[in-house]
Amino acid sequence: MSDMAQATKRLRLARGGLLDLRNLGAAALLCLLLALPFVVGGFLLYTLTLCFANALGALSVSLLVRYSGEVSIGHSFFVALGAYAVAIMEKQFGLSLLLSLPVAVLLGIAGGIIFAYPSRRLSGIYLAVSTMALALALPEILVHSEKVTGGFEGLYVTLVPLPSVAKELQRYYIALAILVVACLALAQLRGSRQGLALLMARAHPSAAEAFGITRGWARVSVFAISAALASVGGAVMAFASSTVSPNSFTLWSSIFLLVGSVVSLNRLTLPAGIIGGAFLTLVPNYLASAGDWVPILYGAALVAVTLCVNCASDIRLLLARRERP
Amino acid sequence: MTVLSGFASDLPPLLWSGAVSGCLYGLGALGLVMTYKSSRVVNFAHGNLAGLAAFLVYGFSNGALLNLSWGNAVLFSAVLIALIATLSYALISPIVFKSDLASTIATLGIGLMLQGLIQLLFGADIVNLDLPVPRFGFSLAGVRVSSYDLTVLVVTLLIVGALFFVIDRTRLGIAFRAVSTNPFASRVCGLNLRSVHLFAWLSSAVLGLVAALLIVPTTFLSSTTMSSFMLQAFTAAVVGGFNSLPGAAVGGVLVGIAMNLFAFYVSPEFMNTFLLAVILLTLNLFPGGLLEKVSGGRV
Amino acid sequence: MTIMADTGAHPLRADGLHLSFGNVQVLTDVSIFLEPGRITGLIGPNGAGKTSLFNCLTGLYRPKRGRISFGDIQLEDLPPNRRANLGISRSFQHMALSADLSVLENVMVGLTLSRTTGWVGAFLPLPASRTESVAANRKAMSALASLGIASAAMMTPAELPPGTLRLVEIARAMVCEPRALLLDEPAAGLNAVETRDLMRALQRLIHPGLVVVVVEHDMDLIMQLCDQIYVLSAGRVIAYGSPQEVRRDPEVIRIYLGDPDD
Ligand SMILES: Nc1ncnc2c1ncn2[C@@H]1O[C@H](COP(=O)(O)OP(=O)(O)OP(=O)(O)O)[C@@H](O)[C@H]1O
Ligand SMILES: [Mg+2]
Repeated sequence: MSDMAQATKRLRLARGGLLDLRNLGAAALLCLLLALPFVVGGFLLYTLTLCFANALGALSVSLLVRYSGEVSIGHSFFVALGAYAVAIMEKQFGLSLLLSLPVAVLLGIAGGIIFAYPSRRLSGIYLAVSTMALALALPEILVHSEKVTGGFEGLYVTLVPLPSVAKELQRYYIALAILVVACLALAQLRGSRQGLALLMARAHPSAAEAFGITRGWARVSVFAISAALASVGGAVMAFASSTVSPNSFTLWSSIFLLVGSVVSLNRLTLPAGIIGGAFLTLVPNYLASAGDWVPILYGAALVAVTLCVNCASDIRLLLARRERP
Repeated sequence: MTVLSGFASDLPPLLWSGAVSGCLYGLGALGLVMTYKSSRVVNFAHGNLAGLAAFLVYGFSNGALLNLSWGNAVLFSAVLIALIATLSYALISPIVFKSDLASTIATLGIGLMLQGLIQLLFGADIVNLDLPVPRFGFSLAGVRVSSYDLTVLVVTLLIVGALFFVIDRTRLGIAFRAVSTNPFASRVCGLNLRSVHLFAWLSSAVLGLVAALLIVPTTFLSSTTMSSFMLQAFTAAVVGGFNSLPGAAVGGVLVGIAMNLFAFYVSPEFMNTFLLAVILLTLNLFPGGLLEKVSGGRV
Repeated sequence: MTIMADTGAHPLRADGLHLSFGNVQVLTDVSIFLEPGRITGLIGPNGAGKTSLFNCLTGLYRPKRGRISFGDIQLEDLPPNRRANLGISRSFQHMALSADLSVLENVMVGLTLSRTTGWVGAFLPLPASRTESVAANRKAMSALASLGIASAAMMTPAELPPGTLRLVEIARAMVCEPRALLLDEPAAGLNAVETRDLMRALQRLIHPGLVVVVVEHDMDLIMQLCDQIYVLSAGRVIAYGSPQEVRRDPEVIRIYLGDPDD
């Protein structure tokens, strides 16, 4: 038993060490972001707020990739769910973000479940294909339900939760807070019963069934969580950009979310989210003059990172084999 | 009674034109299924490559890039498209055996690049691109049959016939069939997987080119029309089963007819939503045709 | 749907199982009776159908004909997760560990069904979910310790040799305090010390309410460990009895023990 006690101790130490290092990085980043509004202002602040929204979107795709090994190219649908939830709640009931956010979460969960259920037993390609249809169906749904969604024009989001604070600052800090909370919740999920079960179902679906983890449950759960996260991203997006309109929710914007997820290596941490979000927000901003290059750049990044990641594992394997003949 | 007679006079033309455009979705789906069957990659760049092909033909024949005759423009574009298809395959070839997921993501990246290329070369142009066939038409049993319809049918039959001939009769085709039923066994047997893959990717690109050229006259060509064409092709592949070449062709015709009926009787505005519903319903109701890959892994 | 509440002993039995894949007949009229409180060995040459039999018992394969019961409960129509819920647990011959999880976490997967934290607890650090996760941690740790691999708890499967991973696989099957434990080649890849530790752990584990079945190619281990042995060959049960009886069975000697390769 002393062996065990020792191991437990080592475990705690090892874990503490790792946690410290990672948390330190994330905490430093967080401090920087918290302090930033005192240094910069205006456009950069606005861009960063959008970046937080995109970070949530990229994280939602990463979650799907990490926990189920699936790709979605239709997540702009769920982003739109959240964004329009915020806009419509404001237009119809005069409610601001903090009250419409829970609605966005619930809508995202419901949307994710409704969508994933029919394809719960099918292999990844069918899911990818149906998400593509989802992304392409979205604009026509938005445009043709004009009464609710405002059609081509879209809707405005002007309310802010705190009347006495500067709007810009509020937007920035609320978006940041939501992103941080989401990252903490994701960290909690990783160690939870459900998190372990989902990762096992991803690695060995039929073996996982023998431990009571069904494939259908895993597929639908991951999709629902991911869709809810995307929906939160959409809510923040609407709040940050103060408008919603169909042309920000196309097949391409869905694929861009995937790009953001891939360049952050599908990680689920705050820094990774920020990297993904920044890639999606800053690249088009600073390449505005060369707009047509953006898809090429994104495509190249997608291919390059995918190739590198896969070849890196190859090289590591080769090295390991050489060490242990 | 009028409803019924209206139905009787509406239906044949709807079925006919649906079947004609369905042939084109089938051509698109055939390309997708060929790449999927041989290399287990769902090629999301397929539609973008087809779009680029049509744009190239336009650019080469209208003086935007070159000023060639239509036939030469097609030939020239076909060569370029074949080159691009080879290049795209080369790009993903290091990971094609390793991870279906990664290679599928990579095809999305390639699709993005092709899309960017279209935008760079042609901007947001919306162009018309007609087929150089004489215009005529006649009525047959209450259906108007145009020269365009006949062209589509003849070309589709020729292309599909040629494809099935190659797959049925040639060494490459036999290798393709072997690889698509059992990649592992065929590797053991010393078949060259790479050349089979390349064959599939090249034929798929050519099929895309043909489908794009034939479909553009009915609408117009812009840097975004191809994504909805891609969805139609994907739906056809899902309906027919991603594993079956004849299924893709049949699925295309079915989807074409269903879309026409839906547009006429329900609403022309929700085509993509309709296709989404078709995909989800098919996956739910007829998993038998689609389930081949899903049966449990061995443990 | 909670784990069976009573603690009584239930035998696990299969009657007249037939299983085939296409034209390949994998199991033919296989009947076995697995008594609680005893360790049953299942031996047979490669491809005899031992793993397939396990898969039938745990619900991963559906036999074409035949009945399977655990106590009074008929299992044929229950999906794998429901059978797991009844307390049937197993290890896999081809190790089925997740590379993303640490060894400890992999073992904790075995506790999935006995944990009750809901979705809220999955995202928020509620006290209840913390308590449960600490308890699960401790259980998994002691399962690892009982197999002598507690020190590997925080490593990932990629860092460990196959022998240790095999033990992790077994720890995961044991950790949920199952009522039937099916071990598929638990000693494959273990060295002599590990094998001895494994055997001791199994002997400590066995109690009157527990069914244990071990598929193994290591004859010494089987002969020492098991109270009764089934011999499977080409999908049929060809012999059954105590180790001594099986050892003497001429048929078994001919097709299995007498195999000069063995
Ligand atoms: N999912 C499956 N599909 C097709 N054939 C299968 C499947 N599972 C098992 N078989 C076949 O059933 C037979 C028995 O296999 P099984 O794995 O049960 O043997 P085993 O006794 O466990 O052998 P080993 O000692 O090698 O583990 C083999 O011929 C195998 O090819
Ligand atoms: Mg076996």
